[in-house]
Amino acid sequence: MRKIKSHQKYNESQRQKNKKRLKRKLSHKKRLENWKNELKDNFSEIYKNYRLEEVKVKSPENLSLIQEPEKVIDYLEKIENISSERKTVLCDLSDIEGLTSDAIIAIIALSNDPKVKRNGRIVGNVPKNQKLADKFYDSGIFGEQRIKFADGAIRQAHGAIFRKHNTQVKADVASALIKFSTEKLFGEPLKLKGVYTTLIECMNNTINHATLDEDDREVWWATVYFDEERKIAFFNFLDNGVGILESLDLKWHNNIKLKAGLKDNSQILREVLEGKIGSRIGLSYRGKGLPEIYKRFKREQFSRLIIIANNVFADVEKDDFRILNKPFKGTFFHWEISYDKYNELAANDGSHSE
Amino acid sequence: MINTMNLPQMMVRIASEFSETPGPRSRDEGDYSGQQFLEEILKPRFEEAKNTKQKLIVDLDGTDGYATSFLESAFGGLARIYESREILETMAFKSNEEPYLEMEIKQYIKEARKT
Repeated sequence: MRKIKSHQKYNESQRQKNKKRLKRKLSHKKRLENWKNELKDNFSEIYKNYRLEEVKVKSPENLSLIQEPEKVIDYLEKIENISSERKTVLCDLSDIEGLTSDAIIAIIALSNDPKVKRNGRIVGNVPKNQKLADKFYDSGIFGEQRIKFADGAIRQAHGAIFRKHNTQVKADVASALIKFSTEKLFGEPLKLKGVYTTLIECMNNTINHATLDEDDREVWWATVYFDEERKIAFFNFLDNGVGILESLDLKWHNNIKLKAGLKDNSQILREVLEGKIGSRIGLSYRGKGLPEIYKRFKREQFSRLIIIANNVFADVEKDDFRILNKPFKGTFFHWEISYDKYNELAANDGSHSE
Repeated sequence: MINTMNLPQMMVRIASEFSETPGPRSRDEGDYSGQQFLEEILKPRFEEAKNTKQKLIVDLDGTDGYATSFLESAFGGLARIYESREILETMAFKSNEEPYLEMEIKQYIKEARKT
């Protein structure tokens, strides 16, 4: 009898326990649901705010770093400043009348810069001008949602811009860019030794000089764009580092001349190319890269060498070295291989044929 | 000075024995560096040529091109181990595609120990 009584008691106590457990469970579930709903509401609020903070930045009419360096540098600066305020920048390219591949890669490089990526977001729209829109599509700039300025596969149909980025010297990338351009230009892969050397020297320059911190290495971007109508391959190389002129360790007399206004950075860049100013490491056998690029240009292994570094724009072919009113963040190289010029030189001088 | 003109010859062909795409100065900067070429091919071949009294011909043709840092690191690097006079006596260069490279390399060998 006693046993039965205790069994009943036991059942009763278990019932009470289960009741409490269920109550607790239900209350927990309710709390969880409330929390989820709250979070969901906040998310949509955050997302809404985020979307509202999109700022449209109208591109200069001629989006070309080599033709309008100051306007494009100013545009890049605007994009960077707005994105640093944790906003979405919409690069409005709808009304542009001119576009060169160098400007596209400059925007891509900027939007992939970790400092920019950390804060904001860069998106864009397509030029209304169909010819320019085609050029834009060929760049492989499009991702899954609208424009995603990220590294990606080239559009095989045209494949006009081929781009890679890295923090090391990548000889295979230099070869691939040359193979791509010569197949387009000449219908077969050819060796372009001057272009290969220049690409490797540019990569070397970035990994050794684009940052003042020896443990840090800057990212470089290399592209080639093939203009089918003009039969010219345009090579662009860019990094967002400190820039050639900032990385130089100038001798005291040059520093004094700069401070006294007797010399400016455009003259310094000229002297660097001519091999008159050595590397910052101070070893005589270092710092030969930029003079080598200049030598290759002088040997006519390519044409139209343009360099933008810090506050200097240098169109070496036109001997136009000038100070920009706004500095470029990093170093930019541009050169060209023209089908006609290449054949003309090869015909006049067999030794030129690479 | 020893007359090396009539010495037996041995060859190093960079394109086929090392890489058609020579890279940067040092191994940490990228693949197929001048440092790698020096350590794995140039130095052992140079020692062999020196010990067996042969002329070492370095064939520079067939590659996609060279950066100054690759050439300096390899040939200037060798001149930081051995006397430049000894290197220039033992070595000769073949470069039909870029004849100016021979002069540049000889300059790197001569200037290797300057600071």
